[in-house]
Amino acid sequence: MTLLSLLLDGLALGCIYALIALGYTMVYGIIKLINFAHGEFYMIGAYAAFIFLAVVRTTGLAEPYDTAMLLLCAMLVAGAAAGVLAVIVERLAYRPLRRASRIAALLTALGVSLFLQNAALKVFSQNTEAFRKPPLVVDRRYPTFEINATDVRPGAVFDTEVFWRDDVGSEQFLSPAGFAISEEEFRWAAEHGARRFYRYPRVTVRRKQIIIWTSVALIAVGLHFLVRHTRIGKAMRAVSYDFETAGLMGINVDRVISFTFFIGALLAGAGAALVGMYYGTIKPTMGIMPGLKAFVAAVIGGIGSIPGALLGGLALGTAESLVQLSPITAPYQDAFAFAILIVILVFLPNGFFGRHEREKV
Amino acid sequence: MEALFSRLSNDFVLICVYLVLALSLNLINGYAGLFSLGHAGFWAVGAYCGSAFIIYSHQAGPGIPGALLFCGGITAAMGGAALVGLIVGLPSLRLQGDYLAIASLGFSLIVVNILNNLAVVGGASSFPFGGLVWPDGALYDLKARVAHNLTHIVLGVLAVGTCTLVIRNIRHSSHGRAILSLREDEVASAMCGVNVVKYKLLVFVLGAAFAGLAGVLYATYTTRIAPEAFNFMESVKILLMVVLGGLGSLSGTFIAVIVLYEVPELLRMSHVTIAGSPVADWWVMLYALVLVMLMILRPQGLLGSKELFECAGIRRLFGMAGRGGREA
Repeated sequence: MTLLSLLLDGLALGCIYALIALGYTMVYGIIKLINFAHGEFYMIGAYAAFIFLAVVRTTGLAEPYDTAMLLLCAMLVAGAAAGVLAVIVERLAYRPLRRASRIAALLTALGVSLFLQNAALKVFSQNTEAFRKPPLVVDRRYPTFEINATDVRPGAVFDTEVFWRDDVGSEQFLSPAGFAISEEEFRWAAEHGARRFYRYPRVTVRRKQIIIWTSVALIAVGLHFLVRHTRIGKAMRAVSYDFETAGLMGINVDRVISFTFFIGALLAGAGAALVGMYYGTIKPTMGIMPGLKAFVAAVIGGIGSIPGALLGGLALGTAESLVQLSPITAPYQDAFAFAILIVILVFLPNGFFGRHEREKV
Repeated sequence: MEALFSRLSNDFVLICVYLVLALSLNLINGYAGLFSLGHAGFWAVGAYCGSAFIIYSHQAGPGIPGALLFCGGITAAMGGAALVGLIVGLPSLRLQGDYLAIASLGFSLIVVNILNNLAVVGGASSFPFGGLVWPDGALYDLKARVAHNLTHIVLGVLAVGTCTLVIRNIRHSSHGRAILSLREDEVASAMCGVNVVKYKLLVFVLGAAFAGLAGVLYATYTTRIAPEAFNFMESVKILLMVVLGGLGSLSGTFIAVIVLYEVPELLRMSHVTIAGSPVADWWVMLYALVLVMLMILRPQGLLGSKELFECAGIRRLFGMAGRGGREA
């Protein structure tokens, strides 16, 4: 894949990391807990969206609606499901540990994460679910923007999704993100959406990517408004500044913490719906890696800082896509991300935007 | 009879492996208070260093006796893991608490990612000893299998014994008191003249070396290792063993390892089903629940930082005189 298409892909991935990282950073900012279960909230969100879309499709409710509207609804459903789960988990598992050591809280988060993951493995099948089958992305009314028509690679392109044959000539099909897809999936897409075939595919800014960028930008603006210009936002800032004093000033600390968990998980759930749309598949273990990567993103930006989480996510997504540029470095994408984590932790523990806290003896 | 022996010896050797892992993690986590989430990383480094040494030196000189190869393998594994422990220990000088936990978790993920792509050690597929341990159909030879198991039982006992002795003796020396003081208050112990840098690195190097020992034992016993076997879940498992037994309690670790290893094994054998799936399938969920409940109800673990024979109830049970409690 070329540099440009990798960058576009990385930017979209980075937006997702940023959404998940926001939840990490908000929760950490308030109760100093690394919420390992955050990746699982994200996974549950993806399943909620999947179930919602499947129900809408089988009942035929989808017919009169616009795809964009449907996606928005899926994001809301996913966010609400993840948020409610987060509030329940906070109430049952984290609240009893509010005064315990941070290590105990971290281990609890780890336990919750394992529990949710395995519960999902039990409830849903271990298989990946094809997110593409619900009528989400087969909408051809909006054109995609083609940037570069000289990116030479044999295969086929059509305007809502790009597939191409592996250029070694094997019968492997790759989705735009570089994931292998089966020939049946390729055929299915060709039957349902393929309108035009090109001899040479080109770098396209895909509609999905635009959807991700705009939704994340809107969410970021909304979050900024929430934190800076509302009563509850002010309460959140007060609690993160000083837990005890905020309580003395008449702020209901427990409610603020619950609300923070809800908002954080809501963002992760919305991100999960976007990811389902973008990559087309979901599975019970999908939360682990994005969860950890989003944590890396939050650390890069300075954990506890909201703009830091956004920029950290974008930076990590882009950096990871650049690693894929060479076939030699491509398999080490994960190692690269965690090496960044360790380097940042050691040399810049407050990240790029974090508050510097002086340790008192 | 043969099946029973092979099952029991299998459990015994693997319990020994986990014991060495949990005891060494207890040194890092329980005594020094350095919260490490990446112990499986050291384990993997040890297993792969040891196996690579044994396999490649066997290829270079097929005449070298197995015992010598194994000793070389142990040295390579412990050396390699200790070196990696030193490297991982360096960030620990600047990081504390959950930051260190995340950094060590990142380290173990890096190890698995690199091993998955390293062709010299078999990449994502397994790295088998193959004909080295089982030459010419010896796999089906009952005597050879029994000998293999017996050797590893002896080796396992030796490894656990060495590990326990070393850690126990360190604990009761001036070094041990320095290490314990790190856990209580790093700044205060530095003020009292404890060399914080030296002891943090020492703890990581020693813990990693023992994890490496467990690695080589595991590798030669199973004769087939794959990066998958050293994933994040394993780190959590080892950590749960240490936490359940009590951070800083060696006898607690023994109890926790045996319980946490044997319970799922027995469940697997029991053929009980819950809601249509075997009870063993539910074990990981139970595991997670145990961890959460433990943290809420008894965050210090079963025995806390005491040893078994320091607990008042146990002393009374065995008719020992005096009050329980650790020495000053």
